[in-house]
Amino acid sequence: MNEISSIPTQPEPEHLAHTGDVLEAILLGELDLDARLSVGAALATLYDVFPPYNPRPAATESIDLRTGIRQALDALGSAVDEAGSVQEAVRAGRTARELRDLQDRL
Amino acid sequence: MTYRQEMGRLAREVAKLLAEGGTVPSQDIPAALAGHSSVVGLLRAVQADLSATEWRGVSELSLELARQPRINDQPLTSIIMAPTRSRAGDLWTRVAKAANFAQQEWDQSTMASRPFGDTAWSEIADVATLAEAVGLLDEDIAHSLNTVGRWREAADFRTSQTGLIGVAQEVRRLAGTGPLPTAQDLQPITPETVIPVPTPKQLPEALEHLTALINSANNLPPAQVELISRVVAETAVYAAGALRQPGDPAPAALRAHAERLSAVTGHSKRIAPLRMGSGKAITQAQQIHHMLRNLQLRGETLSPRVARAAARALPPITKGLLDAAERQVKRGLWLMSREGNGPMRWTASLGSTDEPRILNRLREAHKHGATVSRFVGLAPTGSKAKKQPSPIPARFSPDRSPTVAHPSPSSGKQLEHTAAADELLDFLTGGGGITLNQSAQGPVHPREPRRLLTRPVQMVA
Repeated sequence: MNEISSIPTQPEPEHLAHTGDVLEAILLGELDLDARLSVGAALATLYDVFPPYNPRPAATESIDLRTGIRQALDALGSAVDEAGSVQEAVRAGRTARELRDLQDRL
Repeated sequence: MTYRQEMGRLAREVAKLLAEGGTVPSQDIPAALAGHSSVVGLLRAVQADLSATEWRGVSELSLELARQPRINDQPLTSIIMAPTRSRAGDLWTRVAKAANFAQQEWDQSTMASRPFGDTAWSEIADVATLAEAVGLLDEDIAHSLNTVGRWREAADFRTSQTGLIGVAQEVRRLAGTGPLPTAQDLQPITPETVIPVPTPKQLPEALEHLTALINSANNLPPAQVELISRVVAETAVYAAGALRQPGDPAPAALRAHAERLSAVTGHSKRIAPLRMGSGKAITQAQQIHHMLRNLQLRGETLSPRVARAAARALPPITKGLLDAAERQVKRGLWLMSREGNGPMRWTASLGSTDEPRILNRLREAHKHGATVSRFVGLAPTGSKAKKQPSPIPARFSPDRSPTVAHPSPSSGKQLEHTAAADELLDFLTGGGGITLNQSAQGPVHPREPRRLLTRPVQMVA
């Protein structure tokens, strides 16, 4: 049996999946170290969940940092409103906080 | 709304604060402080009840929550009514409301419906998640306080922030090492009535009911704990007076128990309760007191059968009072007076080395309750029986106190009491109020040794 397939996963809520797509697309672009670390930290916060979300195709096209942050914050706002649990809501809030800090530094 | 719905609402408001920032202008600082204080209060209450169930390892989180500053510039009702000047101020007000509603739902739930076993981990994870968010928001409050020159309070928030975030993360991840099943929603406590006690016949049942009311009360203010202790002591003295068979060790044990319970009196002045409770337990105790008072006025006494049944019911009440007091201290619902501690005059207990004195008095009484249970259950052994060793103080020992007789106007019988018991009964029943002789609190030890987190890691198949 493939070991990876034996790990239980859970479906990813739509708005969080969109946020993840946008953040990964940001990372495909040209970024300075601070932005790369901050977006990476936001992604880590977003996916700090057990069981992990189902795997999905990686982003192939990059997106501009400022545009991406705006889109991600919008998606996270919807994710907070529609959160199914305390942990999901707060995780979305923490991810948004990291992105907002980065946005303030730009 | 149910507890889980309120928690969901609270989480959404906290998440919005995280996303949009919790820094507020000076006019909204009271709202931010009230919101912060309400969440910390809720988390402490839930965490304390959960860690009391099975896993003591997560108590480090309770300690970090206890270290969080809880400053209330204005009463919550004023804050909710007042208009806010900023989006963050509005969110903090909503957080305060949601946290208070959630705590109300939690407090009014039956113990049986609260998560236990594996399901408790879901609740622990929620508490840790919100605690981590509170730690992050401490930064925003500290920033707001700094802008208005409240540097010392700002420093308190910054100092307590790091520990809370670290421990909360650790507990959240620990909880996540296994499945987090969704617990059933909480069931509200069904309304309980108070049993009238017109005659001594109802006394044993009323005492058992008092135990049930104490055990089911989520909040029992310290003054009520003292008053109930006093009524229990009064009952013990009456029961002792009714058990007059030679060689019976029960009367002396009951008088000694009454003495220990009377020592509980006088400590509530230095404790400020945050919640007042339903008042049913104290009403039940009042019913018992009135019956005993009437009995005394008529010069009657309890029958030996009723006295023995009543005596049996007393140690569980003492235990219930101790449990209630410990629970509330642990949950941070009883604030202790700290004279000379600047603006933070009333703060929660910081752990087992920093507790109100009333707890020690109740523990001593509870410990002695075992002696009462043992002696009350024993059949009288007669005057020739070998004397049993007893921890009863000499002052209340029937062998050392001069016996006096009181004529009973109604029955003409002679009621035997010891002079010491009379003295104690006068103390217990005299005046109606409590004499508050306070002594200084014990030393404060701000840190407890760290405990290891103990959830076993569950391997994924």
